[in-house]
Parts: sequence; C-alpha cells; structure tokens
Amino acid sequence: MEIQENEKRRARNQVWTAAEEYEFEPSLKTYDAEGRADLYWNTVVGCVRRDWGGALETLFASFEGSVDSQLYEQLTWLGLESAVFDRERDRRPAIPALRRGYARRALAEYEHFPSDRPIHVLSAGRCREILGQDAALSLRDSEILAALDLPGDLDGPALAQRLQGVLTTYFGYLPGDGAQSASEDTPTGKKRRLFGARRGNRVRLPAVRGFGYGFGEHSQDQTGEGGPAPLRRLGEMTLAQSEEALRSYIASYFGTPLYSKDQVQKLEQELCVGDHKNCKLYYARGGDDLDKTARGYAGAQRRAALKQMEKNKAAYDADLTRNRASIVRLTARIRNAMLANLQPTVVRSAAGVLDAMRVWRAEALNDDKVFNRTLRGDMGDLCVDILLDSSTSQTQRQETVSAQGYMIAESLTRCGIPVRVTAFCSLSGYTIMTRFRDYQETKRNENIFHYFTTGCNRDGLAVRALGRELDNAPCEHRLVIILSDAKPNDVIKIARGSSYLDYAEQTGVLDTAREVRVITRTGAAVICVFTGDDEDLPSARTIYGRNFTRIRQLDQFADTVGSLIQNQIRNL
Amino acid sequence: MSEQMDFLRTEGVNQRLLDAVEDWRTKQAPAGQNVAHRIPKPRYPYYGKDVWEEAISALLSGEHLLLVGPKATGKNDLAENLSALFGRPQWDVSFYINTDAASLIGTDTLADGEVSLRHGPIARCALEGGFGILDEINMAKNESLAVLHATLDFRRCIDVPGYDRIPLSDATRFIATMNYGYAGTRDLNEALASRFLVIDMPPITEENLLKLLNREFPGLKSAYAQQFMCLFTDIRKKCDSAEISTKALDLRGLLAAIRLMRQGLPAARALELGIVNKCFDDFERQLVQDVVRGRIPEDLTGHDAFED
Repeated sequence: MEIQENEKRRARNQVWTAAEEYEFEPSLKTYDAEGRADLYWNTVVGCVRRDWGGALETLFASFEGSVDSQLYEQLTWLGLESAVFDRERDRRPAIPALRRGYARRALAEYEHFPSDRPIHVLSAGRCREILGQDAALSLRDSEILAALDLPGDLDGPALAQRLQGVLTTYFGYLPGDGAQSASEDTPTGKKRRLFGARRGNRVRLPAVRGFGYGFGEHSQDQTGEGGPAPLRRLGEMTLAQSEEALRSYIASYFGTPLYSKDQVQKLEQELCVGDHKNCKLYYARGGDDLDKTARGYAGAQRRAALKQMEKNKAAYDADLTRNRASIVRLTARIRNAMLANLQPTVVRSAAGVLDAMRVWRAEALNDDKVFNRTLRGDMGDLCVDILLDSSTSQTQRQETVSAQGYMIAESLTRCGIPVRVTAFCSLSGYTIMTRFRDYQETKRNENIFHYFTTGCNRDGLAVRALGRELDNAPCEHRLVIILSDAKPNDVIKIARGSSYLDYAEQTGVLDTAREVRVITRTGAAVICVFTGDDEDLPSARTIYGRNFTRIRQLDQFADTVGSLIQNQIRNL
Repeated sequence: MSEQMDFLRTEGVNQRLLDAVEDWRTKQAPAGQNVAHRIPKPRYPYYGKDVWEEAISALLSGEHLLLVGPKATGKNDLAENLSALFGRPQWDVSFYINTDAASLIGTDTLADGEVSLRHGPIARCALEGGFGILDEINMAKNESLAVLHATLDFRRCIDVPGYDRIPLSDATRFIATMNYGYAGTRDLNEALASRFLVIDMPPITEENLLKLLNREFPGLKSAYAQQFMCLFTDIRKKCDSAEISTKALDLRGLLAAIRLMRQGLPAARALELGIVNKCFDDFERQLVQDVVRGRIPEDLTGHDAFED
C-alpha cells in the first residue's frame, strides 16, 4: 500500500496532538484500508506514548525478529487500545464516538473480507462489543479478549506485564530480551520461538504493514549504512597539506575561483574577524567543469559531485509535472504580490498636501478635492539572493534542496526579479561560497542542479559574506532566502579569552542569528526555507524568528514559499 | 468601573495599585462629552495578575507601554481594559505599511474656504487626554514613526510644521502592540522602542482560559469548558511546532463558535466557522479539523454542552 505523503504528515500530526509533544517521530502511524490517516488509532498511539511511553518499549523490542511479531504487536495494541479508551473516555468526550466510528468501519471490512486470522477474529469481536453487539467469539477467544480488556489506571510496567501474560498464556510468547539465544531453555522448559538463533536470519517486516483492517507504518532505523558522514572531522589528507595545495584541492573540488586572489584576501581581512578569526573564504563558480588534471582524492570527489548533479536533475525530472505546476503557482503568487504593490498612488482628496493649481475649484466649483494624497505603492526594485546550505547534514536532501532552489529562482526570474544563487559549506577552515548564477544571468537557473553537499557549515560567516555582497546589490530592496537546516557546525573554534568554543549547537546558532540580524538592520529581509528535522526547529526560530517556513512535501512548496515571499514583498 | 475593580481584586491585583488608579482618576479632568463614548466597555476581561500590575504601575508613572507577544495573548484586550480602568477615551490606530505622519497626526483640509489641519487620531488623543492604542506598531516603517518621537518622550508634544505645537494632556498615554517576528513585521528601531516600557505578553494560561470560558458561558458544562480549553492548547502546540500557521489559533473565533453552539448550531459546524475555516490551505484545514475531531464529539449540540 502506497501511503500518500500528506496522509503520513496528517497521521504524524494526529499522534503528536494526542501525545502533546512534537519532538519525536512516531514509532507507529496508522491508516485505514484506503490509506487515510486513522484519527482514532493515531490518537491511541499518541496517548500510549504520553502515558506509558518508555515502559512499553522493551515489550515491543522483544517482538522484533519473531515470526509472530506482527501478531504480538497487534494483540498488544488491541490491549493498549482498551486501556487508552478506559483512561481517556472521561477526558475526551470525542473518544467514544471516534471509537464507535472505527468499530463500524472495521466490522464492515471484516464482513466484506472475512478472515480466520486470530487478530482479525479478535478485532472483529472487540468491534462488536464496542457497538453493543454480541462478540460472537469462541469460548477461548472470548477469554483472550476479556484478558486484553485492560484498565486505564495501570502504570507502564504493570500494563506491560499484563500484556506479556496474555501473549504467553494464549500465544506461546516467551518473555526475554532478544539478545538471548533461541536455543536457550526458558524457565518453563519451552524453547524460545523467537530471537537468537533466528537473529542471523531475522524476519524483517516491511515499514508499512497490515494493522487490523488498515495499515500501520512503523518508523525504520535511520542509522546504519548510507547515513551522513561525521561532520566534525578534518580530512587528514587535507589537513597535512600546505595552504596552496589546499586551495588547489578546493578549486578542483568546487570549481574555478570567482574572484581574484587579491579580492578574496581583502574580503577575508574584512569578514574573517571576531568569531570568524582564522577562517578563510573561497568563492567558486558553480558548474559542471571537471579539471582533467585533478587526480586522486580531489578528482574522485569532483567526479562524485558531478554524479550528484545528474541525480539532482533526474530527481527533478521524475516529478516534472508537479514541479512545473509549483513554478507556475509560485510565479503567479509573486506576480500578484508585485502588482498589488506597484500601483501608482497619487490621489486627489479632500485632505492631504494642497495642490495650488486646483485651489480655484474649491471656490468656483465647490470642489473640495484640491489636495493630493500620496499612497506609497511603488515597491521599487527588488533583487533576491538565495543561499543554499550545502553541508553534509543536507546529504539526504540534496535532490530536494536543489529542486527547491531551482523552483524559487525560476519563479522569480519569470517575474523579472534579479536572482543570485549561492551555496555554502566549509571544509578545512575554508567557507566555500559556490555561485550558481548571478543577478543578470537569467539563463543559468539550471546551474542550480550542480548543487552537492560536503563538509561542515559555518552559517554565520556565510551569512556575513553574503551580507557584504548585498552592499553591491543593484536594487533598492533586497530579499535573502536561505534554504538551511539551521544546524551550524564547523571545525574552526571560536576564541574566547584563553579558551575555545566549538562552533556548533547554541554557539553556532546564536552567531548565525546575530549575522542575520546584521543583514536585516541594513534593510534587507531574510527568510528561511527550513529543511531540517524537528529537533532543529528551536534553532530555526532563534535564527529567523517567524520568518521561516517548513516544507514537508513538495506539493505544498509553492503555496508555502509563495506566502512567505508575498509577505516580504508587501512589506517592502 | 467598580465591576472592573472587583474583578481585579478577585484576581489578586495589588490593592495599593488599585487605590492609586482611583486617586489618579479623580485628579484628571473627566473626558469631554464629545468623546465620552470612546471610553471602552471591554468585551472580555484580561486575566493575568502580574501583567496587570506591571501595566498599571507603568501607566501611573506616566510611561507608555509596548505590549509584545504572539497571536492570542490578549494584547488588545489588555489595552482596552486599561483604557476602561483609567476611564479614558480610546483611539485605535491600526498600523500598516503605508502609515505615515499625515495619517497619525493630521492632514490639511478645507474648512469654510480655508486650509486647516484636520487632526489625526494621535493629535486628538493628545488633546482629549485619551489612550492611544497603536496596534501592530511594527507593521509601519520606522521612518514614518519618527514623527512620534517627540510625542512619546519627555517632550510630550506634537509639533506640526506650519501649525501650533500640540502639548499632550497629562492623562494621555500610548499603548503600542506588536507581534515580534510575525510575517510582514519589522524590528522597531531603538529610538522608538526606548520610548516605551515593554511588557512581554505571556500566552493565556490554561487556568485563565478556563476562567474566561466560565465567565463568558456560565451555563457551559465544566467537562466541555475543559475540552475547549484543551482544544485551544492543542492548536497552540501545533502552531508552536510550525505544523500549522497561527490562523486557527483564534481565541475570539473559539468564543464565537461556543456562542453559535449556544444558539443551536451543532459543535462541528460552529467550530468550522470559528476555527477550522480560518485556514485557507486545504491541508492545514484538515490538520485543524483532526484536532477538533479528536476533542469535540461531532454530534455535540448546544443542548448537550450547556446546563440550561
């Protein structure tokens, strides 16, 4: 079953609402037979998290790897549902009605597709009970269902114990931790049916699998292979090299320099001060050029980067229709906002600045509209800078970030607004600003697909460097859009007296926030398209205030970013 | 006023401050007949003892106030309640991007064939000893507000080129509100911000929201008052976590929906009108709808929710 992205987000929200916290990824999200988020069950999942949370983790973990894990898991949820209902019915008057609604739907499914699987039989019995009907179960099944009818006032360990008891008594489940061998004899003399011996050949269940008569989506282990590389390590290879060799390595990796050595030196003197002392800058011209002489590590890195560029474009093309629609919608929104702000605004009125040429009309024609009133409407010239965070923490999102950057740039270009697009990351103490297109390069938007990620990110310095370039912007009004995960992190520490602070976490966030404020004080507006995870939301808030938006799925991209840009244009 | 004083006493606001307010009122010239209708009769009381005490102390000391806080923290309600408590006529000035000196102080107009100054709300407020509510002050450009500097600082006057200087009445106070970081707003510059005492408005607490609901709807069953309070808290948490915008975080909308229920509209439809439909984005609306459905039974009617 393919679950739509918006239903996943909706299910996640339902769990969060009931759990009364938002800083976790639900371990289970449920959907009905049509793949729609199931409000009742997601509320149950959220309540379980809120009331018993960690106490049940061991129980669920112990099912992992068993051939019957799905059965155990669903039976456990059947029991938990009754406990949640018992606890919540007085707290949430909506719960009984939601439960009845669920029971009606599930029973209809059961009657449509009868099944003799224990979980279906028991669920159907429970649904009948909920609807006030006879459960129509065998004696044993009635017993099991009664045993799974748990009171809501139990604490976590007691609840886990009761559930374990039911599974052991009726389904042969044997408690124990999964690390133990299956060949071990249990205290009751029975052989373990799960874990251990089968661990080498564990039953890996799909993330989305049957759950009652609908579906459950279980969160997958995100770590392991393919995860982001450690962020805060200097490559030994580059560390050992001389300054000159390092620059040449960076040039091979990121592309030819944008500015001359002297220009960069001047910029470094001006910008690499204070908390960014000892840092260096490199401005690269983004593109797909490959230095044929580059060998070894640098050459391999560059070739990997070029490969990513192809992937970005391919991912964009795979969803071409939707992406084009997003561009059209975003263009329309920006254009509307501009039109609304571009109207000429001098109006005649009965109050305002006296128009001497028309004073006679007051006397002769009794026309009191002899004043002019200027309603300031012309928003003046606007140019936009897009800054893409291209550090390793964005590795999983390279295709998304490049597509978002491209769509914003293309929409603004279609509206005739000059756009400049730059990516930033830091490597071996260098903050590298890769320029994909400049204001006047209207035909180079596709260059944004040459975005790739590597290294760390010294957001504060990148924002400062961009702020310096804004001084030369050709327009009266400047808007900066930053696509970032609000997670600054760099190897060059900040000197504080005799001690050094890591450029990470709160220190990095506060430094970035400061640099953003410096830009806003010059009259430029800064907004952020947040690409990070929940845990980094507070950082985004610290840096950008409310001027950030979060895109969970590209379908909503145009509307969400459109509103943000629209607000800024109105404000100019 | 005595009703409001009683309310403040019940809330535990320092009696000495309340006595000082009464004393202040007797010393000020009463509002003129032509503006007496501007003395507000607040629709909702403001709950929050500490904020009340801070605000009263500041105004008694002759200071102007800047109320800073996110949506639904009661900034305008507090401002209105303060005008009523001090018994002063109120002028509301909503700031927007094109707010300029003319729209605040006044513009030239013709009167009996002569060009004269037509006073704007700030000038009238200064002359009549009113309370000026400068709503969303950070929506306007800082340069447009420079005209207020002399008005708000120790000079307490308005100097319009070509006209007489207008001194502020002793009773005049300005209460500005702003929602910092809200889309479309900007930083207040230091010059302007330094002319105010700033109160950081906390979100209404669950306890105070419950009090408000019970006061507004005495017949509402306590179980449902509790649910509506939880509903508002759920929506606030969703806004805080950036899952939805603040459009649905609308306390007035919630109160209006309960009022509609009392009139006989089923809860689901009333809440749609008051809360859910405030979101114009379909998906956002769905998220808010889920929050409502998780709290309030769809078939709930006013008859079930109210005692009478």
